[in-house]
Amino acid sequence: MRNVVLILLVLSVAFNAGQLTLHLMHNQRHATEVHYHNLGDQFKGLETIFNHIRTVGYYTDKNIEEPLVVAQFEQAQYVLAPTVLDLNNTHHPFVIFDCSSPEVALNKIKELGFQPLKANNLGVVLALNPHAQNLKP
Amino acid sequence: MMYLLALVIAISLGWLALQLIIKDRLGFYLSLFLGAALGLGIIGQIIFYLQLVGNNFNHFLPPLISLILLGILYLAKKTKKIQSPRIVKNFSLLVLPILAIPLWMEAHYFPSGGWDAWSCWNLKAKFIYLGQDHWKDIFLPILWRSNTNYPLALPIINVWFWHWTGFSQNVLMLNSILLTLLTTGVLLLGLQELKVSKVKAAIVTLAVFTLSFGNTLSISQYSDALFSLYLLAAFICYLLFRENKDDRLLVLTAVFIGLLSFTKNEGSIAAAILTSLLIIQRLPKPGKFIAILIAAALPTIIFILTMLPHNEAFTNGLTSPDKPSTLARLGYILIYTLVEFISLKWNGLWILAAVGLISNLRKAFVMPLAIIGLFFVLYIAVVLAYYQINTFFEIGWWMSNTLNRIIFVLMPSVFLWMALSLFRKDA
Repeated sequence: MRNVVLILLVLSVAFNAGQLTLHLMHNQRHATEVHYHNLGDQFKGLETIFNHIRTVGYYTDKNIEEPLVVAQFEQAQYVLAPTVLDLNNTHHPFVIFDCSSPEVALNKIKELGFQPLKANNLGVVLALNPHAQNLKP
Repeated sequence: MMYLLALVIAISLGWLALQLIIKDRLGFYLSLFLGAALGLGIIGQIIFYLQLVGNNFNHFLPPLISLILLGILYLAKKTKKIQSPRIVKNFSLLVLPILAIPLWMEAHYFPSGGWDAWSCWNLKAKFIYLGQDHWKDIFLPILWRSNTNYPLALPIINVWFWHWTGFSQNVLMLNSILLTLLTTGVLLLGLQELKVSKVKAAIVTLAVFTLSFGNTLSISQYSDALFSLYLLAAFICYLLFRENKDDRLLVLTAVFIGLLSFTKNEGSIAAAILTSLLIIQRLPKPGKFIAILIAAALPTIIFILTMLPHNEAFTNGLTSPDKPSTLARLGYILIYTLVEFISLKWNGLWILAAVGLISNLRKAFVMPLAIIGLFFVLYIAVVLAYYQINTFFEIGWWMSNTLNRIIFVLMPSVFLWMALSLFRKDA
C-alpha cells in the first residue's frame, strides 16, 4: 500500500505541475486585465493632500454590499492609509465622492454646498466641506 | 539589495538564537530554515515592543537593537564554543528554486495579493509604518471590515522590510514567496531529519506545493503563510524532541507555538489547542515549557489584554433573536466542509492524505504522530463551531471565502503526518 500511495503522490506532482503550468500560461495571456487589486489606482495621489489628516469622509451612491463596490472602498482605504476613510460620513473637512458617474458626484457636492477640489473621469471627486468644524486653512 | 540586508539580519538573528538553544543538534539546512522562521519572529517581537513603548514606529531603534542583539548572540555562541552544523550536499533542495518560479510568476499577476491582504494585513502594516503616533487608528470601529481584532505579526514583519526598502508593494510580494519557501524547506528538511529519504521527502513536498490553487493562496500576502510555517515548525520540533528525547527541542517547540499565537486569531486558538495536547503528554519540566511558551507568546497576551478592540463582525447566534444559530446553518456548515475536502481544486490531495493515513493506522494514529491528527480534528471542530456561533456573515459567502484558506495552512502538517506514518525508513 505504501508504494501505491507513493505512486499516487508522483502522479499528483505530475498532474499538479501540468495544471499549474496551464494556470500560469492563462495568467500570462490575461496579464493586462483589470482585477480587484487595481481598483485603488484611481485614488493614488490623494494621500499627498491628506498628509497628517487622520480621517476623511467617503461618500458613495453605489450599493456597498456589492463586492466590486466594497473592494473599491477597501482599496481606497489601503491606498490612502494611514488616513481613515469614514464611509458615508460627509461631516469631515475632506470628503471623497466615489459615485456612479461624475455628474452624480458633482450634483451631490453642489447639494451639500461643498467645493470640488480634484476629480478624475471615473467618478471620483475630492471635495472640501467648508462647514466642517475642524477645517484648517 | 536592502531587502536582502533586512533578510540576512533576520536570518542571522534566528540562526544564532537557534544555535544557542539546540547547539548543533539539527542538520545545517533545517537549522537555517527554522532559524529564518525564528529570526522573523524575533524581529517582529522587537518592533512590537518598541511600538508599545514608543507608540510610534521608530526608524532608528529596530535596526540598532537588532544589530546589538546580533552581536550579543554572536559573542554568546563564541563564548560557549558552539560548533555550527556541518554543511553537506543535499540535492533535494533543488525543489526550492523550482517552486520559486511559479510563486514568482503568480505573485506578479496579483501584485496586491488577495482581498484580505489589502483590507487587513497590509493595511495594518501601513498604519504601523506611516501612522506615527496615531497608528492605533487601525483599531477604530469604523475599520471593522479590516478585521481590527487580528494580531500583528505579519504586518510588523512587513514593516521591518519596509524600514530598509521604503514602502513597496514588491516587498509584500517577496515576503509571501519567502514565507512559502520557508514552509517548503521546513517540510522537506523536517521529513529528512525524521528519517524519510530525500527523494520521498521531495515528492511529498512537491505534491503539496505544486498545487495550482495552493500557489494562488500562497502569494495572497495573508498571514496564513506565517501560521502554516510556525505550526509546521512546532510539530517538527516536537516530533524530533520525542524521537531524540532532547529537551532543547521542546524549548524550540514552545517558542514556535508562542510565535504561532501572534499570527492571527486562529493562530491563538491553534496555539491553545496544541499546548493543551502537549501538556497532557506528560512533558518533562512542564513548568519550564509553559514559561518559555508564555515568553514567546507575550506579544499576543499584551495585544489581547491592552489593544484588542471589540469584534464588530461578531453576532452571537446563541443569544441573538435576529440572527440565531439554526440547525439548518449547522447542516450547511457540515455539508460544505465535507464537500470542500473533496473539491476538485485540491486535485484529490486530501483524499490521498486520508488514504495514506488509513493504510498505516498503527503508525499514524499512535503517539507521538497522532498528535497532529488530534490537533487537526480539534482545530477544525473549533473553526466550525465559530462558523455556527457567529452569525454576523451570510454563511455561504463566509465559508466560500475562508474555509479553503483555513484548511490549506494545515496541509503541510497533514502531509508531514502522512509521510512519517508511511515513509520513515523504520516504518
